[in-house]
Amino acid sequence: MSQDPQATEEYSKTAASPYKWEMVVDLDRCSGCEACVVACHAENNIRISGEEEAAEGRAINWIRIERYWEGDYPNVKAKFLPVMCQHCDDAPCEPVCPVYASYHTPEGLNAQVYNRCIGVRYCGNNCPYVARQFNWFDPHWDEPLAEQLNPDVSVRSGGVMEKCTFCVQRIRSGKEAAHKEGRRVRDGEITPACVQSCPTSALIFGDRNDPDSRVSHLKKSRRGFHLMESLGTHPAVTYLRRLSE
Amino acid sequence: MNLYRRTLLKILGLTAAGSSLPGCEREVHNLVPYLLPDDNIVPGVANWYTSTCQECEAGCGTIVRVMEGRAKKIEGNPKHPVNEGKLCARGQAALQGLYNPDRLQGPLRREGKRGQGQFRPITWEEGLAEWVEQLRTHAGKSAMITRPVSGTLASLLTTLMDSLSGRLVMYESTGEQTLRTANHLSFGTHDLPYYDLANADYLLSFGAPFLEHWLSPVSFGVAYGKFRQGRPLVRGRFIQVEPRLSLTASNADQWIPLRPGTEGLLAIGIGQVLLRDGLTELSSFHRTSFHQTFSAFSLEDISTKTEVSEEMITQLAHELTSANAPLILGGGPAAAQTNGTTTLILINALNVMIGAIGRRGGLQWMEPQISPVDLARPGLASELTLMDLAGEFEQGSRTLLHLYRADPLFTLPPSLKFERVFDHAQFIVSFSSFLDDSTSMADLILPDHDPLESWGDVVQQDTIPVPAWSVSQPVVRALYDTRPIGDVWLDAAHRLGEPLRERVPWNTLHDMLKSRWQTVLTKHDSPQSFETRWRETLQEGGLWPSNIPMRQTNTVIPSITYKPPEFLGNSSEYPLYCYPYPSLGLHDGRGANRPWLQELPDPLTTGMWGSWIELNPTTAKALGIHPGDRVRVTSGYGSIEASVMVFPGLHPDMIAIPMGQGHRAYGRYAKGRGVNPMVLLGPSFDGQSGSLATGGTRVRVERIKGGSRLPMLEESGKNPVIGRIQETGGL
Amino acid sequence: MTDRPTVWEEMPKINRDLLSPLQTTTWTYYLWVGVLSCFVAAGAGAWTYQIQTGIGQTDLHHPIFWGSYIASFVFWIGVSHSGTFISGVLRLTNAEWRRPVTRMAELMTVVALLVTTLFVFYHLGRVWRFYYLIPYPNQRELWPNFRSPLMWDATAIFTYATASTIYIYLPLIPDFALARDRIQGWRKTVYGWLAIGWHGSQAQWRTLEMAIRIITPLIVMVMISVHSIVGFDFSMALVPAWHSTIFAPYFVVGAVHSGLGMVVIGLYTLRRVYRLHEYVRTEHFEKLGKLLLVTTLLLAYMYFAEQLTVWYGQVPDHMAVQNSLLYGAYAVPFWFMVSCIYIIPLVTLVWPRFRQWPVGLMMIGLIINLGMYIERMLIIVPPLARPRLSFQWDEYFPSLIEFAILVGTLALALLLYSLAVKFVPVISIWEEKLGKKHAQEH
Repeated sequence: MSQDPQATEEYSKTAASPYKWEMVVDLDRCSGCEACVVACHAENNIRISGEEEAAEGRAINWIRIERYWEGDYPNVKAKFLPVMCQHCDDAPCEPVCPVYASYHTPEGLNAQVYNRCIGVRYCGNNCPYVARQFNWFDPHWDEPLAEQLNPDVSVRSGGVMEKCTFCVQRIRSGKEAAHKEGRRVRDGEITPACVQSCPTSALIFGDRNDPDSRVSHLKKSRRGFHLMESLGTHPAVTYLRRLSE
Repeated sequence: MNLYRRTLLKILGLTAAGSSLPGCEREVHNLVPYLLPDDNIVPGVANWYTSTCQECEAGCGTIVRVMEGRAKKIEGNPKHPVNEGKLCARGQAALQGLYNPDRLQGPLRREGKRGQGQFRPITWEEGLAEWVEQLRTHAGKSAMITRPVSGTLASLLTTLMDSLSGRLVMYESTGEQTLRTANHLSFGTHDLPYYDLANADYLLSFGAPFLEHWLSPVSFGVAYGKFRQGRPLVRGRFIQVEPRLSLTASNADQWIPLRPGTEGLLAIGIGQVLLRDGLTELSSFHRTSFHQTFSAFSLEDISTKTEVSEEMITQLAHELTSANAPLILGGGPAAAQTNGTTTLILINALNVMIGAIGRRGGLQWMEPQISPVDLARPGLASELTLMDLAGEFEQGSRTLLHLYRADPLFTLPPSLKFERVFDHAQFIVSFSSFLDDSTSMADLILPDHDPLESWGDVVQQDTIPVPAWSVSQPVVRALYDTRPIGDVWLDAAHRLGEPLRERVPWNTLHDMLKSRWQTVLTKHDSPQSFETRWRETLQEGGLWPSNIPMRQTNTVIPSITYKPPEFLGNSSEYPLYCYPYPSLGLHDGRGANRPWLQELPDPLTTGMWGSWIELNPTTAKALGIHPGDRVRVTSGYGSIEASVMVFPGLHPDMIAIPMGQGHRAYGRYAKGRGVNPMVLLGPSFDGQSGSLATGGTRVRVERIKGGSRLPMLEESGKNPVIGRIQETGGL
Repeated sequence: MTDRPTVWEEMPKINRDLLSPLQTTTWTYYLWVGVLSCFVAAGAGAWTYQIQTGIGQTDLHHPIFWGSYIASFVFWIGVSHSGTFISGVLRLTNAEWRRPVTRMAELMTVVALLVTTLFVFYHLGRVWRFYYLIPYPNQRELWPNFRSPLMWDATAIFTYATASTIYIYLPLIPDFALARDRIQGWRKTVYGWLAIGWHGSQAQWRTLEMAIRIITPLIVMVMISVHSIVGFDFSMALVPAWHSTIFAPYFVVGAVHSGLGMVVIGLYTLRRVYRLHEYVRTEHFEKLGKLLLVTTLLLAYMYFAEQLTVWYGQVPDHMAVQNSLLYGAYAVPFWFMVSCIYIIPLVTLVWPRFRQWPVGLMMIGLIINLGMYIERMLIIVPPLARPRLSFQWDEYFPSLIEFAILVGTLALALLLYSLAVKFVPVISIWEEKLGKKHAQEH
């Protein structure tokens, strides 16, 4: 991913849309507390898989905290890596979908059209981040848990692929509010549920085309890297390295 | 974080302009009648109401998103001083308490024998009449066990129990009684200090699980973010010392394992080096006593006993003094031993030696403030207090038991024989919303509203720099035929007649709440009317005076004699220490009926929906146990069976088990799932604080037949492959 | 030589022998069809259950999104290559010995292709929305995504199915005419339609031969493209150990390998059941044995080239997969597969005496197909089970429902083939006759 300011400027001039949504994950702040996970479940109507399906490896998490062990006792370290859809600029999941259920929005989001998805699951294979999650069965909520479901987010039926949307419903309402006032969305005005809840502020979200946004600044950090950069997927999520001695 | 404030202002502005705050002006019973068109309810448009989280005792401010009369999401209140807009997993899952399918939907009367779990629905009138009858019969002999409540409700309950000559016991299994006692003995105050982590640049923590459940985890989380990356040039360094690598420890720059229960000894070692190398200046008050305390053991001896090298001890001491704003915390496993209080006092002494008391980036106490409710949280009960209560029931001086959101039969080890309270109580009334292990023993259940359906306030003056007096308001109409506990008690008080009626003249808790807030809000010399001020307070989520001066604290640490930890069970029969720890999601078990929390992977083992036994790989190998094998853990008090997770970050002589599972009741998600490690624990106490030493029991582990498929997020956990990191450039 | 009957005298016997399966049916045949139908019904029941409850009835879970259905899809496409390769390539090279083999191989192609398509449907999460894959005109102007290898696949298979139907039909016309003239009853009418007025004129023969000559090279090209595209389904993906240039040719050769194995099995069985020893002779088995030896060597060469490249490169992502195969979680099926498709065929087929032993060859065919089926699974599952984020490593084994569907589908294939044998002469009668004539002329 080019960090060149000129290129950024070029991009914002040429791009049809004025926004480019990106996220920064500061691993030096992330404590692995998983507040983001529940926030995501609450916001996005993620199904409750239950013990049996969870044991089959089918629990759905749009954001998950991966834990990697390093070393042996007593010099052992556990390191956390929050992984969500990276909203790649060159997303491997997009071209392989035979029905265009996975497509790229003009604002850099990697969108999944649930109604169009027929469940061939090629996108899931081709995502190197294993960010895509599949509904193996129809979802179910014991009454009245379904009262909590967010009316802004559709519930996915069985046989459909789903994944992190950067809380597109929040982006939309934020943009509408800004549009009504005839201005651009301010930095920090739109926060996906995970970003909003993160106690340590390890997650930062914003418009990369705004040169003054926190995301734009943090992306330039020397600690920054992308997951599996060599694959050339150009993710919209930048990780900031955890520091250690 | 201005941006978040701005967001909230916008949200609240919208609410205020568009709806003139339905939640604040109306009474709970006529809030949002959805069949009638209401100007305030626009389909598809969300309203946000402030409230206060009551999932733990931290008292985080929340805002609740409500659409078409249903609560959709809980977020942190950006203006609240405790959590600054953030909220933990448990707080957000409170929605699943409100909409839990197993919530009690109305008053119930026991049928059949006690404990059979047979209940018959009754009317409130029947229930109240019977209860009042029992209150009359057992006059002066009632007792109430509740989870800690504060504010108006606490005041009401205290007043009523006083008048009834009853005994009110507020019990919290993770109430940090040890810390409170140690701090009282060290600093002469019952208030917990504000640990200014955000401004510290070096943190040495003796097991304090401040990123998980210790005191105020969200507030510590916010501070931790600032501690690491909040300052342009300073990145705080963090060392955690404890026998098990907790979530908190895994965030440390260095985790130093040590032998369980020897944290105090290590503190002595560090103090000794500080004194030896002249790294600390002591006041005359401490000079003699500290020299005595910290020279009681040789460094070599300490190193052998703690299993921390002498070099490391020296290094820690030197790092502490070379930092600008070092801070030392103690808790978790360090406090869970029979010498817990001593250990924490020693840690406080270290804080004194590094000059952390009253310093920015250290321990601070604010000047006491007059809160809206003249009473803050009454003292919490320790396990020994509960034993005392049990004794009263046995003697017959207490006969009527009230339970409110407390589940002692689940959270206390069976070895304490707390069920004798239930055996001897002649009548048991529960106000809980769920049929938990204890409530299913009740004779009469008068279920409370969910906190999201009720009025309330929370007073938080511990562990924050400014006091937070938060309000919670009903954000949705009551779903079921339940009644707020405050209203129910007031009703009963009025039925009992004078003199009670006079002492609590209000009809509802809401009236009482408002009248108490009136005194405070009008005191704050403002020309506005109370109603305006009250509305503003509700809009803000509460009241938190700024610019509170810091209090000068006198350290009164006595001369301390280190006591080694004592363990139940001899080391030949029971070779392993057992450490049950509160689970991140389920806590002590109260989260076990929330599917989101059941499905929340434990961050380190990634286990979900169950219990497991953690074993060090070397220990497992020596015992011939493989990951996923089923084992039986036996102590002198009980045994449990579960599958093994090999856990690299664990002292080889220790096993660890998450708490929170193994309920006998508590709804479909919790009942019969996993095992309760409390079964293993014996009656081992920290004498000074009276708290249960959860780490004070020894166990043995043996492999048994069978294996079980425990759900795990880490798929490769099924392989004995330790994760490899690649192309991530070092996390 | 003079005491041998002339070609013309043999003709009625050939007609009689080769048309006899169409005319006489034993009770064992009915039993066989009945048993197969039961299996098919069980498979259909399993599929219905899967549709009703959800695709979760499989053992699939992330990150292993593809499993036995896709493996079977690839396998059956491989089987379908039997007919095309045997008849197409051998026709092109004018291999005389092909004559008794082509028809039964071509029948396999058609049956296998029918079965292959089923697996696409088994696999879909929302099979009731399968028509999204078809470029039909719709209000929202949504079209399938032709950038997706899966769409290439759909196109290729559709082409292949069409082409191979024509390809089997053309040489059938004279045989249908023969059947029309020899068989009475309602079938006569059907054969009459199918023979489209064939009466054996010089012009008709010329046209037929011309048509066959044109379609044969075309079908060979389609065949190669089809399995290349199936290979592309994998090699176009970013998945470690899939992303390899050798996949396309490797898949083609692998398909021919299993296809040939299947032909040997079919040949042996039909010869046994319908006593075709005079037509299907040891010579044919020997020739097929030689061909199998060639494909074994070719496939082993390609497999070695691929694995060596991975191993020498030591790229961790790919090594994770290779290690899981060589000595990890998948070592047992891997080494079993290697024995089945490389080692056992190699050590047996090099012996000329072995190649002349039909039973042995049939068993080699079975072993090869078993091995190739496992090979398909091993191509799909281990790379998916070893994603780059090792936190997500996992295992997979087909569920009972999957097995039921797989077995039911195998039964369906056998059933279709058994039914076809009753309808179509399993040896091309006119080509056989032509062969005799050629033999005499030389």
